[in-house]
Amino acid sequence: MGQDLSSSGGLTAAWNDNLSHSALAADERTAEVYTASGSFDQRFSLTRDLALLAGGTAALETCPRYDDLDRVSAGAHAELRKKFGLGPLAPVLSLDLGAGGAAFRDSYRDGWSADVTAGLAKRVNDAWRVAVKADWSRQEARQTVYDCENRGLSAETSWDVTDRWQVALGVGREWGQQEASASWNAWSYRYYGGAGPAVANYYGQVPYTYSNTFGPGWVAYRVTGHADLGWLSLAPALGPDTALPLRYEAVEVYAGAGTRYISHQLSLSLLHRF
Amino acid sequence: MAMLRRLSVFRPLLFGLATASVLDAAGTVQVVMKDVKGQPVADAVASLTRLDAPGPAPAAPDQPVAIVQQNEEFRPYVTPLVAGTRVIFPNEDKIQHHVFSLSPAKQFDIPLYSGTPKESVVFDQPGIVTLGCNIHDWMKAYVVVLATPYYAKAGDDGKAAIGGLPAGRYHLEVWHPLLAVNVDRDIVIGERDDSTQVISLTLKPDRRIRRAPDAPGGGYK
Repeated sequence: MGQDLSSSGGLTAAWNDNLSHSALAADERTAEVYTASGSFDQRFSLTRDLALLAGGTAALETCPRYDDLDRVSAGAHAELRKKFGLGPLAPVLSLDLGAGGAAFRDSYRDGWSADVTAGLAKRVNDAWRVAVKADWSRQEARQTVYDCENRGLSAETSWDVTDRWQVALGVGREWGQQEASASWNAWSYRYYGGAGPAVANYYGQVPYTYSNTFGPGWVAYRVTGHADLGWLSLAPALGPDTALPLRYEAVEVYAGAGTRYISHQLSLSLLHRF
Repeated sequence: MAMLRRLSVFRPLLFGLATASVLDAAGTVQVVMKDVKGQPVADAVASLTRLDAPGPAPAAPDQPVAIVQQNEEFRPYVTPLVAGTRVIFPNEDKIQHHVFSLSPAKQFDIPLYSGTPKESVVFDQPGIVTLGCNIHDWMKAYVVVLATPYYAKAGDDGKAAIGGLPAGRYHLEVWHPLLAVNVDRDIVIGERDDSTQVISLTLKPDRRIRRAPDAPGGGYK
């Protein structure tokens, strides 16, 4: 059984216009998030067309404006990868199991997570590639309001415009639980019936806690619904093993009682494979 | 008897003179290959096939030809050789590779190895063989298997010199991985000819599979 080790690292600067996941426009908080990450994978070739990749990741993330969200995280994963045929046009089926932990500056958010992802990818020709994924994830935190479980489906296509430039477009939907935040005024308005009995009834049942992450007296709460995701990236290659992707993502969350919030994120990353 | 002795002395000299005269009579063709913008084209293979007399069956070399994996690329990118040549694929990387070909002229795969595999591959049919690595999609190389001993590959200057050509009529063909329009012509080589053929090649854009990291996948945090 042959084995190979590969590793990579990355730096990302992201700007998010609703990092607080707030449904009310006045509550939306804009912030920058900076991440440094590294990963490694050991490849074990089980048969001619079946490989096991086992590896780990670690990341350091900081949000200077809302430093409760600063965190360090680490995780491990194992992926089975089956290739149906020889060559770059052969479809690849993968099954990935991951688990990890994160420690936040706000220790109530500390916890562990697990995820399972099944994917099918196919290169159509030298320039085009398509991939679909189904995933499940579970996050458990010290404070239950930050627990969440989700199932998702996504699809992505990438186009290598030239040797150097790549464009990727993806869409997805996740069903499950999402974290949201509201200022005390926005929260109490809904909670105490200002938006009607149905809304008050809904907000009376969702898990919530007081949190100063985005401001004094704010409330963090957990909603159940679905999130629609879309992303577009432009990734120039700086060298054979280095890329500088610029990425735009939009997420729209729909939850009970008409709760809805949208966030947009723009990020620039430097990725290098060692 | 004395005459026989004199002939025996002269025989090697006569043979040497005959050989020298054949070699001196051999022609050389310098094929200069440029793209439509006038830039030299490297890695183009020029070959000459004798038309007016059956050419000698090309003899495959005793030593194998090496196509190396180095820094997750094949070197050289294009390898011309005569049919019957053995090729070895030494892996100079720290990671394993899985060399394969699906080309009709030669289908094979050497799964997952480090160093130099014990097996070599004999390319016994004329044609173009595309090599790949089943793990690293961007790795690509070509083997041009020829039925003629008269061939050369252009260097970075776009020039390929084919020597040792007996006088006669030949069919000149040029091949390049990105060739968009076939190029071939008939030429005549005289004794001791030293001629130049300038070829303009129309090439397709060089589209290779991306090697740089992709942008990370989407996901809501």
